[in-house]
Amino acid sequence: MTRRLRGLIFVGLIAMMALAGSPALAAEEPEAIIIGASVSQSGHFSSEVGPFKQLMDAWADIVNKQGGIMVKSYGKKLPVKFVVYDDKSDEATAKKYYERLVTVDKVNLLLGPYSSPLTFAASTAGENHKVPFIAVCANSPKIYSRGFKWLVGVIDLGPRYTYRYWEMVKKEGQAKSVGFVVEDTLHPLGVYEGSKKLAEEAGLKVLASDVIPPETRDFTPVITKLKEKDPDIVYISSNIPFAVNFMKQAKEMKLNPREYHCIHHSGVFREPLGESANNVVGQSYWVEGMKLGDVKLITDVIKLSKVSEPMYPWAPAYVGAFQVVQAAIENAGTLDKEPLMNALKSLKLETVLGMEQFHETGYGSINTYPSQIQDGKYVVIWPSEVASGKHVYPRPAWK
Amino acid sequence: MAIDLIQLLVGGLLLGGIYGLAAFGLSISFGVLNVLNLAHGEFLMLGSLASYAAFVGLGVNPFLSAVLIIPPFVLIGVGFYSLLLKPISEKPPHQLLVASILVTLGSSLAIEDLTSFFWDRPVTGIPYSLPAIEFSGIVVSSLRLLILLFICALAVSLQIYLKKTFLGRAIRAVTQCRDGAKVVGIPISHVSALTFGLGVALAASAGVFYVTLFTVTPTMGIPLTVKYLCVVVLGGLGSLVGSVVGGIILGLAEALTAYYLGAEWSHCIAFVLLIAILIIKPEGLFGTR
Amino acid sequence: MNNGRTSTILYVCIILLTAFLAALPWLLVSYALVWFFLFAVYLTLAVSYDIVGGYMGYMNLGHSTFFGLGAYSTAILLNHGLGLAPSLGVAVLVAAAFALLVGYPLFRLRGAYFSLATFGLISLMGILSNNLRDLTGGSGGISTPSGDHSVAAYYFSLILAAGTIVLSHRLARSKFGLALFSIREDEEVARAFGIPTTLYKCVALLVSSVPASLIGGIYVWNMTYISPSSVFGLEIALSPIVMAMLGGTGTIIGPVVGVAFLTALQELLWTKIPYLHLTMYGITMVLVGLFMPGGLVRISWVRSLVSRLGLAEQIDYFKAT
Repeated sequence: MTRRLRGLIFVGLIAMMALAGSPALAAEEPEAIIIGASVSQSGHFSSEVGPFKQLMDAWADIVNKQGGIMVKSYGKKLPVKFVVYDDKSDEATAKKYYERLVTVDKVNLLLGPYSSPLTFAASTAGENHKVPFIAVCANSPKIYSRGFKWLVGVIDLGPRYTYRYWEMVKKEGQAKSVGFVVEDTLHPLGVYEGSKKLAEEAGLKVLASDVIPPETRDFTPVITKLKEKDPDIVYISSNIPFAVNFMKQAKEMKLNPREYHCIHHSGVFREPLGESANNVVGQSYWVEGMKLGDVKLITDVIKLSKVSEPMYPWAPAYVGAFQVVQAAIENAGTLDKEPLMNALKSLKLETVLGMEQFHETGYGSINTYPSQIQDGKYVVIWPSEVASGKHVYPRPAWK
Repeated sequence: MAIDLIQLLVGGLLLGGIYGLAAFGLSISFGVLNVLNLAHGEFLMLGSLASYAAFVGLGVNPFLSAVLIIPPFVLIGVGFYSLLLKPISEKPPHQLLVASILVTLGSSLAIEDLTSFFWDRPVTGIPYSLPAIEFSGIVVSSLRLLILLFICALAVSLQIYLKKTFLGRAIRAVTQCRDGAKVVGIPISHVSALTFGLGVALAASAGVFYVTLFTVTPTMGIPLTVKYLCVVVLGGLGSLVGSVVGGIILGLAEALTAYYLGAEWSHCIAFVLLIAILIIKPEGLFGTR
Repeated sequence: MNNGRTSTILYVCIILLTAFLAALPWLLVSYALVWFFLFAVYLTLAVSYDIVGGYMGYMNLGHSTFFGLGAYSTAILLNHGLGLAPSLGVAVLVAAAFALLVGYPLFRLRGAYFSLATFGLISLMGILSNNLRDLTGGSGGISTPSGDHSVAAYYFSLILAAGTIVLSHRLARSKFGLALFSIREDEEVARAFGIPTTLYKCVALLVSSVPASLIGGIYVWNMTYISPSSVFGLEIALSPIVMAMLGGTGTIIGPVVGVAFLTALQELLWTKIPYLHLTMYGITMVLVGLFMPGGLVRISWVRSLVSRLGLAEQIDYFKAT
């Protein structure tokens, strides 16, 4: 008898877990604006966006303190509520939870996950169920070439990621050649492909291009090659750990180009390199002291969420996305999906990161500015109307 | 061209030494416990973070903390063993394999998640460098060279320890024949606990160098363990010389492939080498069955 | 007979479950479709893994290689304008050929060495898929013609999972299955009794590669995008194996229980607990490993329950060792 009872309990337990896990069927009254998103709290992207749920909650707090976002058709302000899941940095999980956000949590709109691969998988949920999907940190052109109608992306395409830098190089006319060191992952590869073209257009000679696996720990072969070719600019298109490993060894082996450009060079880049990070040029969406937009929102969100901007350089892009959300809802004046999407498509907004406007295929116009680390501080060096300092070129050589 | 080649060999050699140190910790604990410790990389990561804290907070030199870190991590390892591995150690082989994978993988996930939750740095590295040595066009990273020397010294002292002391001999005896060791009265569970502690401490110690040369993220543990498993198999399970030689062979092979075939193939060579050695000499270069 | 009654109950349960699952797309919970799709993917992988890993006792950590090969072959062929069925067919052939190719050398190894070598195989395939850019799209991944296939993929995957379970069940009762068990228990003795062990091991690997590559193909067809890290990564490599182990390897019901338990647990933790859910997941794994190393189905009262349903034939094989 007890055996049978235990068996029943076992079956019951599994059934309960399945039930608890399976969708709860509750219809939401429109008393709040529900925004769905996933954040990679675990898995390899957690080192880049792990605590970003706090960022979302912080912005929601700030907006809700002012009563929420005005929705004309209801004639009142509605508070904002986030539903956030952990996608484990895994495509299948991301897709699953975006499906859940749409069909179970009945969100009004979706903010994208981190990275292009996850966005690839997740955006199908928005498209299939006709829910506006705002990609945040996803800039692979392939995402926007699928003809999706319910997708916009906050930032500009990956290949154009550093176009302002090449503009500057062309204008200054000092550097004549460049050598590329590329981490073989989607985003750095995309940036490299675009940059190579832009560099050639700017009249530079491409002396070397090495595409290297992300796990590489010994750069002797590449550095040896680069020393032979001696390009003016060594352009490292990679994520931060890779760039740090490269720079440490480059310094030891005294690779001395006139300029280092590392596309990502945030606080976690600067800290482990110490002095050697000085004069490295990179890209920033936003740095303190830049002559651009409403700084208060960024600093407020960052302060409230305790997510440090130098440690997580993507944080400003998320704040830009929040502004897009708010503006689109206000412009549409409703939470109905169709007008909301139209409002997004026709949006023209001066965000904290500059002008935002979506191309007809969906990608946005926010892009990075070249910035240089000068005595441990980040200085935007181009274009002059936003710059907070002067470009140091050539950099003093390591001895 | 000759200079390039020498430069490559030097670079590969130095990298290989670092592979060897962490791999050896993995190797002895496999030899004695017959357990594949999938949480090995996590201890390396924890060692890195500890030495970062010591460096930034107290200004402790990495070489010093590589030694200082050993006793506390031996304790952590002994604790880990007694709590999680000892209860399963007497299970029959099938079950031991399954249980050890569940236990070590599970704890590895937990450690990873706890670290990324409580450690406020997504990427950690120490700004510590020494001027490079240069002669006739060949640049040798003095930091890497020192680390290699340090590892050699550590390896030699370990080898002496294993050969001369009672405990060291006991460790080797258990590796060779568990039942025989039991018969002659070696306290298996003590030896196992200490060996595991030693393995963990070596991982942590390797972690110190790791964070000095490279960067550390909370999620790097499992992929790193996989890599070190390759090194261990290459050299032979339970062999100290094997781990270091295996590491160096891997380092050299990677450097040469990267230069001649292109960097994207350098990691391929590790696994080709692994599978080849397993098929030709399954017990590894220096392994005994 | 009591036994007859319980198996009737079992059949009724199966029929009811089938009816429920078949009707699900009309119940308008499309999240459940994605959920069950992934469930079926893991189930297929775990059950097919168990043919080599459980029945034969060779822990094949590289089982997801077949999944990845199936996924990539299907994706490439779909992009060349082939239909789903021929693409899947070729994908199965590719994976099977690969299984034959690597089977002979790999099966010279045993125990942890075999596991490590197969694990190395995944990394090798991952690197190849990264480097053969023209074929695979490199690290950028490969996307297939987009479209909403979720309902069809849901049915396909469930049918495939069910088929794999039936296959595994048939296999366990066949002479061939018995030979595999005997290889697990003592390979030398098995050979002495005239079992062509090398051939059988290769065939077992071949058989286990078929469901894995098929589900890989369906996976990419439904996801419309894969990258090296998503099909040759650690998540897809280790999860099904851990699930099979957690349920109990070497049994039919074990992997099923394991997959159900872990996916449900994960769903619960991931949707209800905002932080440190991975920690709890890991701790659960540790606890299972510590206290029920034979897997959930070998806990005595679960075993008795399962054996009353007539599904416990293989559970006790492990006891002998």
